[in-house]
Amino acid sequence: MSVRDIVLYPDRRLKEICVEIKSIDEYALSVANDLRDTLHNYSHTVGIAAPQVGELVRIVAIDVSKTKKGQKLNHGELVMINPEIVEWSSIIKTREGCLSIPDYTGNVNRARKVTVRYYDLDGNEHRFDTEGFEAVVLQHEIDHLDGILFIDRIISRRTDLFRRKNY
Amino acid sequence: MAKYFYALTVISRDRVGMVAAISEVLYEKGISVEDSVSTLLGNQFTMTLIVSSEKNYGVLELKKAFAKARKNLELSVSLRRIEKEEVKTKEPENLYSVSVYGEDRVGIVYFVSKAFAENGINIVDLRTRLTKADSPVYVMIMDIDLPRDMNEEKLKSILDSACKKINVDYSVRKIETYEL
Repeated sequence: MSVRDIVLYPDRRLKEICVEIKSIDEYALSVANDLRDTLHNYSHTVGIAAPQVGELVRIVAIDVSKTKKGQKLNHGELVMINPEIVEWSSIIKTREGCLSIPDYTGNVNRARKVTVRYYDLDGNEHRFDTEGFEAVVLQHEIDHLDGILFIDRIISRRTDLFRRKNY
Repeated sequence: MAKYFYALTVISRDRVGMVAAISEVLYEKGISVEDSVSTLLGNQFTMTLIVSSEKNYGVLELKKAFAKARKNLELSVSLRRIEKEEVKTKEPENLYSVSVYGEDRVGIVYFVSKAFAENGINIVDLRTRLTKADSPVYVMIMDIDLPRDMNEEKLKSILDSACKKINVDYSVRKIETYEL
């Protein structure tokens, strides 16, 4: 178990599609534990994905209970194997940043409510609904598993001036 | 009543009271702000405005009105007259939001905008930023308007070849406005 260095963009590993975990073996457990340790090493960080420590597998760790924003609704610390958003609804605008792209933030549209499905470290399947901050963090981290950074989702502001054309 | 239009840009080292000083000059002259965007770039505050007046001021006369503010705030002001037709933004055909980002190098803005220009793609908004991290990342966020006969595949292929040359990443999203 150890705190790992954060992979910084433009490292290509952040743009790769990560592979599914087929069995929760020693390797998967060590990545999961390192994610948890690394997450706790950064006081303001509420989520981390395996590619951010250089492992191209579908594991994320989140804990929004660490922050004020996450107090309203959270499921505590979660280490998630093969997480997947299976349902989502409603849109909110968030302002996001990322450990892997220091010193940059941007406005991103995210689903406000999501249903997520994943496996825990014992291989048990779980599924829960969440909304608000925790839902946003889940989407941000799961995006990492597909090589998607929040920069890829930024919508700039100018065009809100234009009205929708007739459809 | 006839209206007269001017394009005004102001840039200065940032300090409290810049917008107040500029808008005071405009207010005293009975000038309205029609369309504007102002922001902090580094530590320079910049204002870009289209303003209108019912009185037909000469450009020099208006510039003189900024003399005091210019001296007190050490700002640079540029002003020119524009036509009425230049005031209204043309309705876009097909809007996309584009992110281009990568390791910093000379030419990112140039290669991307050149590829757009050659293909008749109009940039309607552009923001760039160089992060201050140890290995700086250059980020370029644009809103663009595609020509009517261009599809998303074509846009992606244009970006693909431009971005490969300069080794940067990109992504595109159609801008959809929901009328709720």
